[in-house]
Amino acid sequence: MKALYDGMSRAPLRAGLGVIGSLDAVVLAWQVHRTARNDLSHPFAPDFLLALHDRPMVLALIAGVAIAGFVAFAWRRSPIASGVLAIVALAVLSESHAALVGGPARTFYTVGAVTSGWLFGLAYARGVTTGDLRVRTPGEERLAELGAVGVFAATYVGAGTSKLLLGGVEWTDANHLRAIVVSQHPVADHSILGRYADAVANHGGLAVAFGLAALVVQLGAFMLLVSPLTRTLWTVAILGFHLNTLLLLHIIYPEAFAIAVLFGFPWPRIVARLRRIEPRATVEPPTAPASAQAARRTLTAALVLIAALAGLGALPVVRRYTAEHHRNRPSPRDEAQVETPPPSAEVRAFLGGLNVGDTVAGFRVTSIRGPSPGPDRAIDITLGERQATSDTVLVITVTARGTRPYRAPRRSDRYDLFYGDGDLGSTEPTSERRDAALDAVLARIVATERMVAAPDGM
Amino acid sequence: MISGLERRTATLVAALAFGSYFTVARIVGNVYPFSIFPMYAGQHRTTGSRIVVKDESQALHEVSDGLAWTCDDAAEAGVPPGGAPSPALDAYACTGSDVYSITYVDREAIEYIRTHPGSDPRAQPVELVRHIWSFPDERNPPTTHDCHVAFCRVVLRR
Repeated sequence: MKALYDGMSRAPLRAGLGVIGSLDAVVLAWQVHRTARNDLSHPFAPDFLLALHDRPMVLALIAGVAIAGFVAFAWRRSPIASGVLAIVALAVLSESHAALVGGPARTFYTVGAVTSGWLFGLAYARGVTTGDLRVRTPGEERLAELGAVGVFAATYVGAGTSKLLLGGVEWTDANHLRAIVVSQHPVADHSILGRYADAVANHGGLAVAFGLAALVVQLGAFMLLVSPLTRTLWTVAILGFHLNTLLLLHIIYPEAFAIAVLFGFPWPRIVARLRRIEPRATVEPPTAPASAQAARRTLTAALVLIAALAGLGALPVVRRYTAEHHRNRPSPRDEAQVETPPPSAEVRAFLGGLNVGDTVAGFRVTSIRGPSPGPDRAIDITLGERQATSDTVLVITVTARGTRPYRAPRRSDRYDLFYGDGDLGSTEPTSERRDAALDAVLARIVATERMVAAPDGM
Repeated sequence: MISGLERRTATLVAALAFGSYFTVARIVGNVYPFSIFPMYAGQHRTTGSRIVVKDESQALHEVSDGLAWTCDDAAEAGVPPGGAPSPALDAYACTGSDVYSITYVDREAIEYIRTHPGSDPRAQPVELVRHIWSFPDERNPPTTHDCHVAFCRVVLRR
């Protein structure tokens, strides 16, 4: 496999990661300092993460460690140890920020991820040649570059995969992107950007094209690894994706953008051409394994490291913690404590007397909302059950028959019943329990629909 | 000159870096520096919405275009002339399973109102609404309607 920087100094890559990481450390420390614990803060966050907000000296110290680590990394002074130190310090700042605001700000993740990939490649090169992680190996940064680009590509493929897993192929239909654009873009914006957003909102074909393009760019990011030429071409596509996201949604991930610019083009060669001088070639001895045994030993160590990280990530306590990110709405357990507005008498009568706090098929009714002001004029019944690891939540939606253009899993003479999940932090019930709950609500509606009119607004 | 062995080692490192980040992130979700980057990856939507200001001429404005806000929110629980009591200022107002909104956008709007209070003789009566776009199908432009959030008085900058 060829690397884009073969024959060139990789110092710009190291220095670029160092600058981006150091800036992130300053910005994260500042944001933690100005964010007090609030109602969005992570409910299970360790106290020390939440308390950093009140400890500016400790924050400054952690940011200082991160910056010192990145400076040493950029200067190749014990790069593995200093790089790991920098990432750990950034991780503390990032997790503190995520704990305070209720979830991660993912723009900060890219530099940590790509630096991790660089360190992985560097350690691998040293492992297969000398077996000593402290000893610099000629040509080692070639593998570091490829490790960094491998992880960078994985961040985009991961994002595309999330879209398919959470949104399905329907993610690329016209309405999904249009919904995001109108919800994000200012109203009454008569600038050229406003007209651009209006064009996407009003023309489904344009929205479909952009949705598909986003998915192709993200899922195809493995092209960054195929050859130097595809790396540059795909970088241009990635930059186009980021710029379009900025124009349409006013969202930019500066770190990802900067890293794409940094790793996607042969800057030493470009600068030499601009200065009309001969590019300085760097002769790199190959980083071939010293022996088959060294190759096996290094591969085994790498696999053990990956398995250990995956094992740590699979721990229930970790998964439960990450599942609580960005749970902006009260969870069923919160709703049990916070007084939920009761449904109107009309809605209760329509649902056969069902009220918040009642039990349906073993679930507790945590809220009854609606009829909603949307086109469905739906009534949402949220059912919850507290579990050890995360809450099981089921939302049953009742609409007039035929309101939605797809088949309802349960129907009465006049109404359709649909089901949906709770927010991202909750788990789905089993299909048997879900069907039992749907049947229980359907039975109530069937019993009353000929005697009770639909609630006002439905 | 790069040997075949070196080439294979390079390919292996790139593949391991790619595969391990992807796999660990899928397992863990989001713990720095691992992430599945699930932004805007949610379920299929047929509506979009945001909280905005409607003035007396029915023109729409951003909340951030207003200064010196007073609203009949929870603090006053007021009853506007000829209107029903408004609910507390709520970033989730008028949302449900069929009305999509971007939470942080609406929270910022409500936070802006809360952090820019005031009483100004130039203030005009406005209605805080959730402006809802509905997309009946993929070909046609959206239809829109408004859902009442609160009655307010504010000085609009433009």
